[in-house]
Amino acid sequence: MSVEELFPKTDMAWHEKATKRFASPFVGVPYDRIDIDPIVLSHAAKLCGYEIRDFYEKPEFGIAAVAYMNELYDLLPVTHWFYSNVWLPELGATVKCTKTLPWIVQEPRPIQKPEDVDKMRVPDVDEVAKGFTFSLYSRAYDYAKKNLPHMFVPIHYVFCLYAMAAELVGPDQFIMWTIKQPKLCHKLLKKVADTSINGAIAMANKYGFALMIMGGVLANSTVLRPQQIKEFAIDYHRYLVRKALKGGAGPQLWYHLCGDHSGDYQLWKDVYYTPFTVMHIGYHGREVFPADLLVKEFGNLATVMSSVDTKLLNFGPPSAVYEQSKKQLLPLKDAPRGAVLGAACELPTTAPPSSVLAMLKAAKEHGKYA
Amino acid sequence: MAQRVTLTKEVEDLLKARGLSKEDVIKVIDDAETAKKKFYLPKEDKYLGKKLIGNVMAYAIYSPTTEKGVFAIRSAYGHKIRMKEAVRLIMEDVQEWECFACKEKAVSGTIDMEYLGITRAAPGITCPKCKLSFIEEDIAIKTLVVAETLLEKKRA
Repeated sequence: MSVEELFPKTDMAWHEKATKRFASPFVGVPYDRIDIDPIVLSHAAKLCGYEIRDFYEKPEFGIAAVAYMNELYDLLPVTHWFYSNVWLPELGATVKCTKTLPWIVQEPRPIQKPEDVDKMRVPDVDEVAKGFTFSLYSRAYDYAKKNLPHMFVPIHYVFCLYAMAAELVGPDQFIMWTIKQPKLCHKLLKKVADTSINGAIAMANKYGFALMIMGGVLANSTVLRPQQIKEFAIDYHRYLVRKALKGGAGPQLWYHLCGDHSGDYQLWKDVYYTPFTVMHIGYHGREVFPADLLVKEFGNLATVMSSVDTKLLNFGPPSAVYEQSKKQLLPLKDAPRGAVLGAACELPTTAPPSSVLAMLKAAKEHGKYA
Repeated sequence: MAQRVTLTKEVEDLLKARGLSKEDVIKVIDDAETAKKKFYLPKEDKYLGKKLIGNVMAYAIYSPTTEKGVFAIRSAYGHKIRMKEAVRLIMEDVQEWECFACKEKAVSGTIDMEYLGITRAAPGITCPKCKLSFIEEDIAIKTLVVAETLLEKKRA
């Protein structure tokens, strides 16, 4: 059976309402309630009776499954498909899916010694467009463009540039280099950023524009000091965004700060903001990043996306998910440029549907605009 | 006083494609030269000026020529989103443009923009002293043009 035959057609009456809700934070016209985006990825495949690897190895299926679950859950009117270790095969890495994990970098990593950084060549836009990462994303987007045009948004997935550079070396070794050989780190980060910029331009060339998702994942307050986050993450994201915008990517930007950002969140005010920017922060220490602090610090710069703890979403109970959702939703109503309630990171594959439904219930009862 | 200008056929076509006339650009240059509110790019000997013409914020990039009082138009562009004010400057992100009046290097930052009654942010360059701000050409013709279309569509 083809992917087209797996899922029923979208209910367009639902889609029309969901589209109005989705647009409302960006156009300053409140619709019914705050939108919920728990970042559904392989969870959608699992709920449809498939395996995690089906989601990642079959992008057409993955993007269709997310579209279907977004409708069933009453989430976003757009679909997506992405994974974290992007634009690395283009720099010499081998990636592989397992039954339970998305594309993971295999040993030996392409950078074994410092000289390997100098030898690494940045592929140009045409080369990136023929590479592994772009081909996978194109499969997802070509499918959505043809079969789900009403839910299609091309996305350039940057992820965390610091984490991507670390994957090429090995995270432990790269963190050591950050301390002992910062110039080497900079050299590698520049090459990683330039490769991703070429991916963004290739995406914009093919689809007309490209929402960019990026942020600090490994570059967080548990791993690095604030000054290091500025030097090794924020400066490169600013460099990337400026060049990618120039190349036609954007105008939508989604900064996804995963992990603890208690020590560095203020620094993320010094990235670039476009008219369609979302700022999403996962944690403040061990707790979810407080929605009131997010609104206070970023509400006048961007649409804010507050978080519900992913552990809570995975293990429940639904009553606790509901309570935390309610607590995070209430301050969002005052966000001057709109807000979304999400998960702190990707919705865990094994999260029970009751968790997402608890978020929805909280949004319907406590996330309505006055 | 209306400035005297020259422009190549290529620039003339560019203006047409962007919905701007030579007269519009002359008005921009007039304003920039009279008020001295302009940025300067020393390494390319170019000025950047702006003026609200109708509902379009129009920009001109131009250079002095060997003939006194005659400017060569290098490029021009515009956007409908109305520029409000710089809300955050990234002081370390120093740009090549400098403020002609203050002799300060511009820095990047976030500028509030308004369109259809909606206030949103955009990346711009600003003089840290007098706060004169500009939107650079590629941001205006790519990011802001798409943003205008999306805002119109989402608002509809």
